[in-house]
Amino acid sequence: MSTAAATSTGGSERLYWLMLLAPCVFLAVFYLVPVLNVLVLSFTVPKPGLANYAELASNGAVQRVLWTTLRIGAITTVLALGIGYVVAYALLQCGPRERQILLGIVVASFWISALIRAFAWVALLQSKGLVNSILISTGMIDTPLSLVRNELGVIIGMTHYMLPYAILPLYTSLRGIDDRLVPAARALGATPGQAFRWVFLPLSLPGLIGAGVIVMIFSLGFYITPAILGGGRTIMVAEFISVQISETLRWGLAAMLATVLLAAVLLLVMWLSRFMDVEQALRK
Amino acid sequence: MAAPATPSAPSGLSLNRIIAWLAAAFLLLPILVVIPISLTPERYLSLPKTSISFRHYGSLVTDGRWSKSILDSLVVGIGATVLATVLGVAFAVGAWRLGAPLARRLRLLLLAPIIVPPIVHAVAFYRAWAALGLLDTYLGLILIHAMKGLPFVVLTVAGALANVDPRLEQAARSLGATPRQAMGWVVLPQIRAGIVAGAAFAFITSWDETIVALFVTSRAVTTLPRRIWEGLADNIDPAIAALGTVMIVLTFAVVAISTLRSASAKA
Amino acid sequence: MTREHQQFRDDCLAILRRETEGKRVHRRRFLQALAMLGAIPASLRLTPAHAQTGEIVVVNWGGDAVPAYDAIWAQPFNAANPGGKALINGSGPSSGKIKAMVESGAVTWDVCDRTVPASIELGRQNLLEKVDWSIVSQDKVRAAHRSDWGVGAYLYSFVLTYDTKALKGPAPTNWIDFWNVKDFPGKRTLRNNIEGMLEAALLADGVSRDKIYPIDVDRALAKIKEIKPHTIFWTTGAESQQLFRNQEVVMGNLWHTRSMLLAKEVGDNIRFTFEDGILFPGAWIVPKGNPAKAGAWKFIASAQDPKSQVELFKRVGNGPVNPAAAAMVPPEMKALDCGSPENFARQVAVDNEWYAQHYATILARYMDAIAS
Repeated sequence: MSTAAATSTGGSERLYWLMLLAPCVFLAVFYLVPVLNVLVLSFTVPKPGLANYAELASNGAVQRVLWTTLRIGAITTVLALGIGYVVAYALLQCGPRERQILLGIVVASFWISALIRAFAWVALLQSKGLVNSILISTGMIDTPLSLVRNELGVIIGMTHYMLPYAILPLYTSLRGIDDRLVPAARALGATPGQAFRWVFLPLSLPGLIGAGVIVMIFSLGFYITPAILGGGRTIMVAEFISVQISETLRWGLAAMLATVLLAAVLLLVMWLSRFMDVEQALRK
Repeated sequence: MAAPATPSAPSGLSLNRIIAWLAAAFLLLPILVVIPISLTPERYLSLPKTSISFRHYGSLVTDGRWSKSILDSLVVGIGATVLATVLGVAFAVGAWRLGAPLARRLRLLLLAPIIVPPIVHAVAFYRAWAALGLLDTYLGLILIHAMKGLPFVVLTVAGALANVDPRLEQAARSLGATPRQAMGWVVLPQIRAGIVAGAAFAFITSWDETIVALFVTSRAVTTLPRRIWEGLADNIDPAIAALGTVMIVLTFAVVAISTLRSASAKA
Repeated sequence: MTREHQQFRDDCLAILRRETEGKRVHRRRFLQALAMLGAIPASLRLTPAHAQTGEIVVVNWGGDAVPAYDAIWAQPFNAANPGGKALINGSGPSSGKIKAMVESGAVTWDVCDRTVPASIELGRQNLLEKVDWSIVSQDKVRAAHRSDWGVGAYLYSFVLTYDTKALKGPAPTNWIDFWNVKDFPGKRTLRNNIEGMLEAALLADGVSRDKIYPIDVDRALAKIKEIKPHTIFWTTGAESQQLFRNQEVVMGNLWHTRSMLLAKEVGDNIRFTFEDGILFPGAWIVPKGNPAKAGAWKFIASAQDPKSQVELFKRVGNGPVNPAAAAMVPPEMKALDCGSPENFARQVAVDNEWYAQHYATILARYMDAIAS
C-alpha cells in the first residue's frame, strides 16, 4: 500500500515538472535564442567592445530619452494604480448590475486598437478639438490649452490604455480578501478610515504590487501611443530604439538600450517580488 | 458578496462610486469619438459635418482586403490564445504545485516578452524565422503572439492559484483520482476566472500587435493592425473606426445578455 | 466532459490542418533548421518562401501609391513581358527591414521605392545590388538623380505651404517669413525628420541657396529651436494634411504632393510655392540577393519611360525625373511640376553625398533638439 502511494505521488510530481518545464523549453528555443542573438549585437556592432554602453554616460540624447521614459512610466503607473484601485474598490461595493455595467465598459475599451485610440485622443485634445471647444464655449478659458503633442497628451493616452490592465487584476485580488475582516475591525472600534488603512489596504498590497508591475513594464515599453500623442516632442525609449533600427541602422545602440531596459526591469521586479512573497507567506 | 459587508460609511461609498463612474466616463471618451468618426462620409478620419454615411461599415463586408484581415487576425489571435493559455496554465499550475524557488525565478524570465521593445522582437524573429522558413506563415505569427501573451496568462493564473489550497489536489488523489483527473476535475475549475482573464489578455495582445507583424509577414498573412498601418502614411481609413464600433457593440451585447441571464436565474 | 474533449481535439486538428494546407511548413526542414538555428552560415539557409518564378515584388509606402504604381507601371510591364509578373506591395521598405532581409538571406523584395541619398547610404553598407546600366539607361536620368546603387524614379519637394484663410494677413513668400512669428502669427508645422527642414532653417537664417551644403548643423538646429514653441511636428504625410484640414496650423513645410492634394481637397485657400523648395530625387533600389535578379532592372528600365512618369505626375503629383518628360507635361500643369526648368531654378537641389554620410548622426541630434 505504501509503495502504491509512493509511485502515484511520484507520477504526479513528474506530471507537474513536465507542465513547468515544457513552456520553459518552448520559450528557450523560440524566444531566448532569437532575442539573445540580437541583444548580443550591443557588444559586437559596430565593433566588438563596450562602446555602445559608454554612450549611456556620454550621450546626452540617450540620457534624456531614458529619463523621459522613466518619468512618464512612473507617472502613468501611479495614475493608473490610483484610479484603478478606487474603481476596483467601488466594484466590490456596488450591486451586481452596476458592477456588470462598469466591468463591461472596462472590457469594451480594450477592443479599440491602440492606433485608433491615439487618433481619437488627438481629435479630442487638439487646440480645435472637442475638449477645448467645450471649454471655450462655456467661457472657462479664452485660449485653447495645449493638451496633446506634448508630455501631458502622452500621459493621458497611456493612462487610458493602462487603466483596464490595472483595474482587472486589482479587482480579482481585492475580491479575494476576506470580507469579514473590515466589519470585524469596525466592531473593535476602528473608524471606517482606520479599518481601511489598517486592515484592508495592507491585505491588498500584493495585488497592488502585482498590478503595478504589469502597468509599469507596459508603460516603459510603450511605442504607438507616445509616438502619435507626443508629436515628436516626447520621445520614449521604444520609439528611439525603433528609429535606430529602422532608419539609422545603428543596431548596436538599439540592442544596448533594449538590454539595459530588460535588465533594469527584471531587477526591479525581482526587488518588488520580495515584498509579494513576504505578504503571501504572512497570509498562509 | 462584499456589498452587505460594508453597509456603514455611506458617504465614502458614494465618493468611491462617483470616482468609478468618472473613470468609466474617461474610458468611454475616445469611444464616443470613434463612433461618429465611423459615420464620416470622407475617406479620412474626421467627424461628420454635414451628412453621415455607412460606407465604412459597408466596406468592412464588401472589401475583400478587410474581410481577409479580420479573418487572419481571428485565426492568429485564436491560435495564439490557445497556445499561450495551454502553456501558461501548465506553467502556473506546475509552479504552484511544486512551489520550488526555481519556479519563481523562471516566472521572472517569462516576463521578458513584455519588457523587450517590439522592434527588437521584430528583428530577432525576422532573423530566426528566416532560418526556420516561418516568415509570412500563420504558424510563425501564432508562435510569436503566443509568446507575447504567455506572461499575461501566467500572471493572472498564478494570481488565481494563490487562493487555492494545494491540499485540494491531494484530497482528490486520495479519493482515487489519477493526476490528470485531479487536474481536470478539481484544480482547473477552481481557477477558471483567472484562465479566462489571462486568455482575454493574450487575445487582445495578439489582436493589437503591429510592429512584429509588419516585419515577419508580407503577403500571405495580413492581420488588421498591419492593414491599418499600410494606409497610415496616406490616409487612415475610417473603416477601422467602424470595426471598433462593431466590437464595442458586440461587447456590450454580451454583457447585457449575461446580465439579463443572471438576473433571470436569480428570479 | 468527454464530448468536450472530443470537440477540443477536433478544433486543434482543424487549426493544424489549416496551418499546413498549402503552406510551406515542412516538418523535416523545420526540425533540421531548428537544430542549426543560429549556427548555420547564410549561404546554407533555406530559400525564402516567396521566390516564385517571374514574380517581381515592388515595394512602396502604401496608400494611393499602390493602385497608382500598379496601373501606371506594373500592368503595362506585365503586358509587355509575358511571364513577368510585377506586383506592387505597400509595406514600406524601411532600411531596417532591408538590412534584416539581406543579412538573414531571406530577401523577398526586388525593387524598393527610396531616395538617392538612401541608395548611397545602404549601398555602402553592402545591402544593395549595383545598378545594371546595361539594362537601365543612364541617358534617361540626370547625373544628380542616380548613384551606383539607385536610379531616379521621380522628384518631390519640401515646399512652403500656407492657409490664406487662417492667416488673415499677408501671405508668406519665403522661409524668413515662415520664421517671422510676429507678422505671421499662428502655429507652423515642420517634419519630425531632418530632410528639407535643416535647409529651410538655414535659408531662413539668411544662407543663400548655393551655400547650403555642407549644412552647418549647429546653426540650423539653433534656428529650429527658435521656432520650436510655435511648431507642431508631423511624422506621416497624412498627419501633415490633417493639421491643415483641422486648421491646427497656418503654414508648414510639406511634401508638395500633399500640398497639391490639400489644395484640391480643402480649396484654393491652401497655397504653396516652389520658391526656396528643397528638391529630393526618389530612387529605385534593389536589395542584395533579390529573388527576381535582372528582372528587377528590367522593371526599373520600363519605369524610365517619360510618358509613364507624366501619368504618375497627373495622378499623384510626383514630378517626372526623366528630362524628356518636361515637354510632355500639359501646359496648364507645368507650374505644378517640381522638376520643370523654371521650378528647378528656384529650388535647392539636395546634396546626396551629404545625406549619405550624415543622416544617421544628425537625425539623432535633430530628434533630441526638438524633444529637449
